[in-house]
Amino acid sequence: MELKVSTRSQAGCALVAITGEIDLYTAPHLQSEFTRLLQEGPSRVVIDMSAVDFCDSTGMNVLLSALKRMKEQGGALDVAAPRPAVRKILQVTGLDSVFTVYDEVPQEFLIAEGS
Amino acid sequence: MTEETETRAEGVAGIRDVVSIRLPAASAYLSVLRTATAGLAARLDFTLDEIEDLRIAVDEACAMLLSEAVPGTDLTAEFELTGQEMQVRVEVATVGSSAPKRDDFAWMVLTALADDVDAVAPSQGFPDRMAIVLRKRRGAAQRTAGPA
Repeated sequence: MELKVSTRSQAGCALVAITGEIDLYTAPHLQSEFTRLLQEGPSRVVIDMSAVDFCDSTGMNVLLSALKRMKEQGGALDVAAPRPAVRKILQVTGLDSVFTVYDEVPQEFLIAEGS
Repeated sequence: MTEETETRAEGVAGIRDVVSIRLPAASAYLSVLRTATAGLAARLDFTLDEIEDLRIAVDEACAMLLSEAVPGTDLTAEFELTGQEMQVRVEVATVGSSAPKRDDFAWMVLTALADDVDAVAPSQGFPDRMAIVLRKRRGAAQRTAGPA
């Protein structure tokens, strides 16, 4: 209820759209979604954060561990469209320089979404 | 109708304006506490940005304590509102003797968003209690950091 994760994969690229609040309570759900997704071995993952109302450091740790695993597999994991509250967390933790952060979901993923 | 905003949080005849909330020490209740925090901060005419800071700071403080809390016990949050400042004390029952960790993202976020933070470790007098006290003043943190 508090957190919804939907994933759309195509040709090794996955767009993960998260809706709701990421905190200590909902983070395990997100963690297991990433675990499942990364087992499919995508080469690139973009996380659409545009519908995330709240994300705390617990949520950032989940994103960070997903990033580490993606890098180990030789892939990339980027963050897109964070709201100001989420952007603030990225800034104060310094993670805005660890993740590639897009203002909007990259065009190629939107096209994949439409098809 | 000009008097309503300035006197809002003063209480009657300068009486302390204190709100206490007791919840199960379980992560499922974090969202409830965040909502209460935002509502109380709005009473003090904090800006939207400051309200967001408080919401996140209280969440981080509670998340830190919940990992040390005895299952099945309660978390208490005491909000003290003065004209310019909100002080929040969150406290749990614990069996460990360690203080809240100060080397992780949670602490980093908490200290960045609150003006002032104290971690109260279990002590001689209160060996089974752990608390975090944070304060935020209205209009205090005017963007100290420049463009990143």
